[in-house]
Amino acid sequence: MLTLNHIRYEVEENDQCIDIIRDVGFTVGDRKFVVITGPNGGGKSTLARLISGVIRPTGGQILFDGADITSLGITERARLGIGYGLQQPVRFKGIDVKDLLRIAAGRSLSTDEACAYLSRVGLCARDYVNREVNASLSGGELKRIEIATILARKPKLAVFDEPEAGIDLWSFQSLIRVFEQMREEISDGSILVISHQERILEIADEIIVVAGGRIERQGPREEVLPHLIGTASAVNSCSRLTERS
Amino acid sequence: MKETVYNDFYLGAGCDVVIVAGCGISNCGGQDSQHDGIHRFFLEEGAKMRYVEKHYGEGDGRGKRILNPVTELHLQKGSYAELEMVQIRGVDSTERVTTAELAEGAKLVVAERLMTHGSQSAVSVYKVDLNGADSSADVVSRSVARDESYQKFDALITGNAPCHGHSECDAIIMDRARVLAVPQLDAADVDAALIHEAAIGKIAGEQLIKLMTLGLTEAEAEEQIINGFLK
Ligand SMILES: Nc1ncnc2c1ncn2[C@@H]1O[C@H](COP(=O)(O)OP(=O)(O)OP(=O)(O)O)[C@@H](O)[C@H]1O
Ligand SMILES: [Mg+2]
Repeated sequence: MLTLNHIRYEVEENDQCIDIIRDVGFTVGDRKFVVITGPNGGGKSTLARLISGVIRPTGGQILFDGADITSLGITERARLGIGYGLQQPVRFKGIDVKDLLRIAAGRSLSTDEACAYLSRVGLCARDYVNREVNASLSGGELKRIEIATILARKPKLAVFDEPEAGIDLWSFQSLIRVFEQMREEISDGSILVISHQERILEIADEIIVVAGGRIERQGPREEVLPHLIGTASAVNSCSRLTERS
Repeated sequence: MKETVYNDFYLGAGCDVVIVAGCGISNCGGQDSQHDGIHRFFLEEGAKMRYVEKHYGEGDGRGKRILNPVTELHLQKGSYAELEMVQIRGVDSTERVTTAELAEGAKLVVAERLMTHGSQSAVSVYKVDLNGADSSADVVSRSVARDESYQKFDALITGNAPCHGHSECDAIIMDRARVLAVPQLDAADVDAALIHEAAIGKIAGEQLIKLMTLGLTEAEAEEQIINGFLK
């Protein structure tokens, strides 16, 4: 499905070259659920932006279904089947939720169809379908709508950057159900999720740990997960709750 | 060709009306044409009016069509006027002047949508006098300026009594366009609450990126963002 070969990403700041991604390589196989985890600032979101074409690597190669897509733009990659749910979803004045879902689906949607996507991400659909995707939506609502756009898009490879951020614990289980449903629905589809959540790590086929712009560890869940439990990379939702109280 | 259209509207006490005005100037012949309208509205006590004026010009914005509508509003006690003014493309030059005077408890709501292109210029002038206690005005303009076009939003709200006034100018600027916002608030009463908001900027890059990740080209994404913004 997706292969990154020796990917580098450097930026220049005050005449200094900063390496943000330093020689990263991995493969997301067909029908796989892969989770990227690691400390804040490690380079996870940068990888998602490199995969979706928002930024171009300064070195290395990206292959999608065997074809070299390194030089393709965002639109072309989207049309090939790469979906991208942002860590911080974007707000639009005047564009309503149904418009956004219609754009994502690439065809006109009936209200029922639009509502079905919203229900799947736990939003009471009728209340939201005609809402504007503007500043009046809460962070968690926006995040769920972002996930709904990926459901409507049905990409071959869905990349989600911290989909659980801002989503309350109660609906966490439904989020996991969303991923499971997606896997059943999109035959040959793969999902790449960036997450710190233990429960998302627990359903991964493979886990990649990224820190300091490098891959620190990667492999099947059974191998990698034991190394992570108790570290900052795997946050148990309950322990987080206990810390807060 | 030069013409002026006069229209006076008298709205009796307690009436509730919707007025729709439209004008699409077609001037493909290349000569100048000027089309001015003076609309005066007199709203008696408790009258309610919704006024919709839409101008969709044709052409590329480089001819010499001119549109200078003047709107004058006189709102008596407890009356309510809502104005929706839309001008999308085509007209080369506009200077739209809207004046309003509001008595006790009267309310004015203005929603302006504007898109200029080519070498057009569009000036919107609002002069609102809140003269009566508890009168209020809400003037909101959303606009898009493309190519070399020029826009000026000039709104003066004067509070002469305990009142609420709000004006807002929200503009997307593209290409080599220029947008000038001139907000003015004039409070002549200690209980006049007046607010102005103005924001001018290009389309946010992250909005384009999001729509492109949903398969739109950059140009298609731009259109969606603008259409939504001016909806
Ligand atoms: N254009 C840039 N210029 C300078 N620094 C950048 C740029 N892009 C990313 N960085 C830096 O690269 C590092 C990796 O950022 P990235 O957003 O990928 O981290 P992350 O792993 O997603 O973190 P988090 O868990 O907090 O979301 C950060 O230190 C960030 O500040
Ligand atoms: Mg991140």
